[in-house]
Amino acid sequence: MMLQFFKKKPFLLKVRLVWILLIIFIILIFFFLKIVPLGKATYIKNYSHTFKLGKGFINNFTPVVNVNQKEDSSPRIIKSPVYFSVFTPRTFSRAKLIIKYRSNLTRGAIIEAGALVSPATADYNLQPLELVAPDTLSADFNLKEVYRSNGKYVFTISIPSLEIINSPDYLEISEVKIEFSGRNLYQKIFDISD
Amino acid sequence: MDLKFLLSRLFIKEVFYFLVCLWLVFIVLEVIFPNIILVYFNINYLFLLVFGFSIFLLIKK
Repeated sequence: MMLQFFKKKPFLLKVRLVWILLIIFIILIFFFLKIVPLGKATYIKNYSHTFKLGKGFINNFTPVVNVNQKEDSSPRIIKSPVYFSVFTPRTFSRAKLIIKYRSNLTRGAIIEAGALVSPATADYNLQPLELVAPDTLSADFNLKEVYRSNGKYVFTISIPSLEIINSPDYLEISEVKIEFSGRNLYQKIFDISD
Repeated sequence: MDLKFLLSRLFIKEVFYFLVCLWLVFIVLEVIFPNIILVYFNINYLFLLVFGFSIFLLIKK
């Protein structure tokens, strides 16, 4: 019955083949993005972009009382510490956290970042963020020892000077970028360490 | 493909079938591998498109 239908309308068979192939192609793209075969992935959250097609990899800062986030504006860290989680489709061995900011902090204020190592003891391997470019901070993390739950790594930003009650200072985050690197597909298949 | 065919009910029906299949594939992938699709694309947008096409086809019947 189906064949007879397509014999009557041969063009329709071509159209159907095209969209079935298109669906297979879309599935393959998503598998490519999940596996990350080259072992390197960069995830960015830019707070100036208001429209988002998906929910993104980098989640919002918590607790909300420590962050002043109005609609259509960048979040301002008004109390320390703040936490954010990053979803990754697979595990990685290293991460480079890059934060673009506008500072209203007292000169020489220390800004630290860390990744959650143990949730039971709330142990974060804190390290000072390095100024790599104007208004850009960066830190490298070894993710081998870092805790990952439900595909998420948890990071923290700590600014000791903001722990003072009623401090007028804040740190405005304009972009969070994380460059992950790990074993590529070849190294994973043949169990070669990176 | 001429314009007449692109606007025909037959072609719109095929687009509707494609969108429904894609939506189902996305849901199945999302159930098997959580967040594989949602981090890049909100499936609700696709649902709205499917809904729009289905209404259009019902009106055109």
